[in-house]
Amino acid sequence: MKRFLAALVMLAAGSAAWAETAAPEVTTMETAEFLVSDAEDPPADSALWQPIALPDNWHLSRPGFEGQVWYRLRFDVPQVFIDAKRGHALYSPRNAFMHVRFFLNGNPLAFGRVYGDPLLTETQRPFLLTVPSLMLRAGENHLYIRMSGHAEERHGLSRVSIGLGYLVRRLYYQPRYDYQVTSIAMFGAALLCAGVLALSVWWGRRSDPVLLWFAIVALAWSGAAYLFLWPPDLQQDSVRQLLYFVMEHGYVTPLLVLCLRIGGARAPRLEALLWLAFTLCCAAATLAGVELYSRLLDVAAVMYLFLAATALAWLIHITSKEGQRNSLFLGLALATLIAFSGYDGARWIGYTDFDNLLLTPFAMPFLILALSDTVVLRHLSVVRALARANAELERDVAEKMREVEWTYSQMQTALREQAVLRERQRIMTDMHDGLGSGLIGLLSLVRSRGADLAQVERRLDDLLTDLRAIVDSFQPMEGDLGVVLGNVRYRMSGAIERSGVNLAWLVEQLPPIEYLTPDMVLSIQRIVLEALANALRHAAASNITVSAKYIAERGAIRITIADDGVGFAPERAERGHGLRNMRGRATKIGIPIEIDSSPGGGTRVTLELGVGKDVSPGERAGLAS
Amino acid sequence: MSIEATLAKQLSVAIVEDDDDTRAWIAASVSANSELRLAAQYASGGAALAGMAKVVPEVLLVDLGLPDMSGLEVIRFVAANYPDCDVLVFSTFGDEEHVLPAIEAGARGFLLKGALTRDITHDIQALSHGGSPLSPVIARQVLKRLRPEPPPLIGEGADTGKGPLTPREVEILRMIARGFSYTETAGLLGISAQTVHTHLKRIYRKLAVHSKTEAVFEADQRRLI
Repeated sequence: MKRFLAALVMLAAGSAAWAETAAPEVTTMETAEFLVSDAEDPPADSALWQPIALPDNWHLSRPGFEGQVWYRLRFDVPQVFIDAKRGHALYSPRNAFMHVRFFLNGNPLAFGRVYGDPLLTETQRPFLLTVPSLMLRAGENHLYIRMSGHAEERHGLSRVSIGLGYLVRRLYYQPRYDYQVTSIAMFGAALLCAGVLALSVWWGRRSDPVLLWFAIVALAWSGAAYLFLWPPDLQQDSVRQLLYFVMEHGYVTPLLVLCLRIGGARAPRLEALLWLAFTLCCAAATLAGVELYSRLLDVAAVMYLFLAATALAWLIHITSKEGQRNSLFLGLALATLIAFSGYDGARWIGYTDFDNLLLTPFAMPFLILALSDTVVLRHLSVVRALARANAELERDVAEKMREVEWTYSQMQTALREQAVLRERQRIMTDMHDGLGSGLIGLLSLVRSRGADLAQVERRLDDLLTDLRAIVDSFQPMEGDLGVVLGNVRYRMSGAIERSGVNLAWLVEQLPPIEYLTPDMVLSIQRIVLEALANALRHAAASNITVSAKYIAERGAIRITIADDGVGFAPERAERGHGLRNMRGRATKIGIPIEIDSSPGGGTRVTLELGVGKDVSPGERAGLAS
Repeated sequence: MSIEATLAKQLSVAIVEDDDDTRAWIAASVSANSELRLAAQYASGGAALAGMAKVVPEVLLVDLGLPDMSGLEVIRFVAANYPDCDVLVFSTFGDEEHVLPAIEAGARGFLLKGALTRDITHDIQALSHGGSPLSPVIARQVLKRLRPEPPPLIGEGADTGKGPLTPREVEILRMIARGFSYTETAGLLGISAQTVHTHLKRIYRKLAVHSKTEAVFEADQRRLI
């Protein structure tokens, strides 16, 4: 695709130069006479007209000249055309002047501009002027051209062609326009699209600066193309000079940076130097007079071409290591750029025909295509590398996750084992302290032969009750304190019945408690048992009330064991074994306990348990206050 | 049987217990009670089943830890073949692990080993009156077995009626689970003690049926799967 495009461009350049020597009904004037004069009307024939060949490049023919020149051209029109009243047209390949006015046989030709109007700016565009047949006469016609300009700006008169309007238009004007204007406009549009596309891709991720610089180069050149084709009207020399300088050479510095980036080289000092040079040149372009500006352009053109060539050569060297295709294209593009620029440079200097097409604009698209190939490949490789890195990272993360999960499950198992061990420990301790010592004590009693069977029976019964209590604590209560309390009553029902005491059972439906472990159940049951036992044995009460209710404002369940017995003095509370045990058990499981009693006033034991998922023992202790 | 008729006649009781001392003591307790009559005593499951063919007592006390077979099998056999005989299971601790399977096998209640004589005879008589002794823990577990959803947390919320238990039965079980006696339960619910006992009998039957149904269902599932 790219090769085809290059061939097409070369062909276009060649044929443009060739096209203008075609049709015979069109006369192309290659000689003229000139006269340096500031006259407003065509000078008389008697004036000192000097012959000159066209195209007349003032830079070559009168270097340093600034002013007005009159030209006189002669051409023949056959009678046939006059009779047929065919419209004619005047054509010139380039508008190389500041001001111009045409006179045909002494009469001014209508022209959209008045002499002295703001400057023409479409220097590179072909020029076409309609000539009505009435103004022509059979035989020799004289064409006078009044022109002013600057030799340094390469003003001058191109070859002028005159002939039948439609032919001039079709064979001369249109092709030239297509090559010089339309094609460059198309390239400019394409580069604009490429630049915008690259910019938007870069904008999305901002990961690859190469895309950004490629976008800048494409957009800079696209802007230059449009400035080239439709330069704005500018009166001020300085602004115009600056604009043209930027237009012609502005894309080079970004191009250099792009090459560096693609090649992966980091040369911040070099880049800074290049930007500095560009800025200085811009300043010089703004401030310089016309002559100096022209010199500056010459120098800049050579310098920048040299820099561009060097950068591209270096890039080709870098990419040639990676693969053939890339470097081949880049090499071709670079060669094209150098050839076209050289050709245009030669024309500028004056070595080639003044009227030839400007070729450099055709080299740029080719170069951008070659670069885009590299850029896309590089971008792809960056993306792939990122994807690989991502995949690797994901694998690493997955592995780490597995490790963490394994460690976690190990930890969980360890925690569970620990919990089981603790429970086992607790049971062992319980049995050791409770049953163990109880049985040993009983054995000692029996061995001493001093006990009666009733005593032994009582002790054994107590031990069995204790064992039952331990087994009970492992029964599934499902967090229901009601069952815990009910179970205590169930165990003590015989004793309660035999004592003849009235038991008022006021246990309500209670919300479940999440933290009701067997340890807690056992402790609560023992506390309640102790309280009931005290009421039965020591208090000589006639009524016992056991109540349990949920208090919503406190978010807790309150258990109360109250009796109407003899009560005891508060000082005794600290010294009594049973009471100390109760308090100790309550503290151990972190439950607040209150024991109120007064002599003759009965006894009241209150427990409070918070209902809530995250209530720790410490917090539970605080709930009572 | 009406209460008067029961009181007029002695309740026949048979014992299946392999430990000689325990068996002797229970036999003595039964004999000591004028309202009870010791019909037979067996030291093994096989002997008991053979003996049942000749003598069918009104109450059968079965120990779970028998030498030749599991007490549960005895219970199941008797419940299936001698519906007029009420089975009570002996339990050391009355813990849910042993009692519930026994009830599901068809037992009508349990006796605590090591309980005092009066309690044993009292419990046997209670059984004959139609009530079976239930501990709060057992009641809670029965509730759990027969009710798939958890009960409402606070207050006597309305029961949706799902599952095999009626709302009344759920109420009764909940109150027993909280430690209320049968009489207190009857009083608080505004029904007679007899009604409570009747409900409990039904609950026991449902538990046995439920466990059978569950077993069949599970077997079905296994076959299907």
